[in-house]
Amino acid sequence: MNLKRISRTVLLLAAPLLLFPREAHAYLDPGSGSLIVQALVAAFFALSLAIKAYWRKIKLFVGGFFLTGPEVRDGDE
Amino acid sequence: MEVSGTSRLGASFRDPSGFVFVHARQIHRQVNLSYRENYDHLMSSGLYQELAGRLLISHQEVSDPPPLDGEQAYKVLRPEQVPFLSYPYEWCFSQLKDAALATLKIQSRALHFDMTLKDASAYNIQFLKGKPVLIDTLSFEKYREGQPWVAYRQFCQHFLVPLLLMTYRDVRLNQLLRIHLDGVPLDLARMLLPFRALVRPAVLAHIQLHSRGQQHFAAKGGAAKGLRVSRRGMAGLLGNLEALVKGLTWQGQKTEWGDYYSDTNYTEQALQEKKCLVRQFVSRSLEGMVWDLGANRGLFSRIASQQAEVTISIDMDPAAVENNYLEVVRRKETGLLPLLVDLTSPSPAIGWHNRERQSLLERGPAQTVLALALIHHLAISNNLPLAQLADFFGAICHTLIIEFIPKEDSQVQRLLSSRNDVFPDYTREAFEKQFSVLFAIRESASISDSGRVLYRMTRRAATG
Repeated sequence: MNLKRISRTVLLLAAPLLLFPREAHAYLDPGSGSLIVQALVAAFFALSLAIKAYWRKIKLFVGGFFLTGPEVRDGDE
Repeated sequence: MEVSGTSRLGASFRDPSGFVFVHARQIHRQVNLSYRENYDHLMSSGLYQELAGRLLISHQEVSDPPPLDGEQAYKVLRPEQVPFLSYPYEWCFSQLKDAALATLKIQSRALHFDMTLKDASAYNIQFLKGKPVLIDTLSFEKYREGQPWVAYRQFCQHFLVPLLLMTYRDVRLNQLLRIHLDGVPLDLARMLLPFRALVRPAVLAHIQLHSRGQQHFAAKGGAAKGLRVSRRGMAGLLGNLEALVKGLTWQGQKTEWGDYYSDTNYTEQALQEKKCLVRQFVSRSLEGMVWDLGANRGLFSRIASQQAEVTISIDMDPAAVENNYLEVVRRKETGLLPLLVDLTSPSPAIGWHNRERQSLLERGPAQTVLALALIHHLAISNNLPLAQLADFFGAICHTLIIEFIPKEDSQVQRLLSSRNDVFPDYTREAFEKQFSVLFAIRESASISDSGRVLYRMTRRAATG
């Protein structure tokens, strides 16, 4: 499932953040971290959606090339 | 400008865009000039028309009453009135889940109209005619391309964390919302959630990573400056949150009251008789809101609901309230609101100045209270003297339809089986005497084969 694949990517790319030292400053500004994490997570979703969209195009293109190839050549001749 | 008989609500102080006030017992909302551009966009972009009446409360712009604070005012709105305000710590699992999904849907729709939710507070959602709606019309702001969702953290804390804790740990953990008014902190969630939940990739991102990110960047002011989230990324984020929330389920495991109706000492005939009596007694009460206390899955609430516009169906058992709410959804009932409240410790007034969230009693009195098969639990299990019970009911209703369960009843005997009988005053005579201090007993009827008696009483006018 796409969701699973996306989530796995998030997990892999998130791993370095999990290694950050723990700092007990949450009362100072929990907002910045929240926005940064959101941007990070959203960027991966955007990337995976883009890959998904392009992957379909590539498949269509490649598939189309093999299926319609002879007809195109016929037309060229 | 001071308007007589008008007061600003205690919970309405956070947002400079406007505030809520009560005038002539009706809720009004002042829109401030600072919010003008956003309000105009909400109304002219088509977003309001898209959401109003379904996911967003509908409103009218009014000139009477005038604004409460004329200098800052742009408009005064009179929203559709919500007959009873309920809070997330009074909701069952599926109510919180539906409120979460409604919030995500609203945010998705708002983006189509170039707006975004600046808050995702669970308190901005109320159940109106059986469905969750956003009541804060001023929650929308114009969307700037690339802007992150500022309410993401709030959504996680108000909705996602409690739902995860209820699913993976214990359904009673929704009560954490009563302590943490801005939602359950993510670092607390991280500690309470079991490993099998935390390793789910989506939970890892929205809770683990989110919490660690909060802590890591807390002292680094301005670290988020210039961050961009593309529309595609935002759609992915919202879609992922929606899929995660939709996938959470609570099995409503069998609890104390799970099988109550098949485990009472009523015969089928006695149950029918009780239903008839309740229907009759409710029809003889004045019109108005009904609270069914100890409602279980809402069998008698539904009888009351046929005659009352709004019935609040209260029980302390999470499974009973869950089943009751699922029935509301299944039958598309509009007049019934199941809520989770422990009557021995009803929701208190909380928040700033103890005025942000009202206590249960402040939201009353109800016109009619049903207290069926309830009093023995309060009197025997909770050691409450009858006089105190009468006091409580006297404070919350005008008409009381109450069932007295005698000590010989097998349910009472069950409660007494493991303890000393220190209740010599728990008799029908003492019950009538104590309740007669505050109530006039209008009628009573015995329910055959049970020894139980159903009363209809009305509150005496307060003296002195």
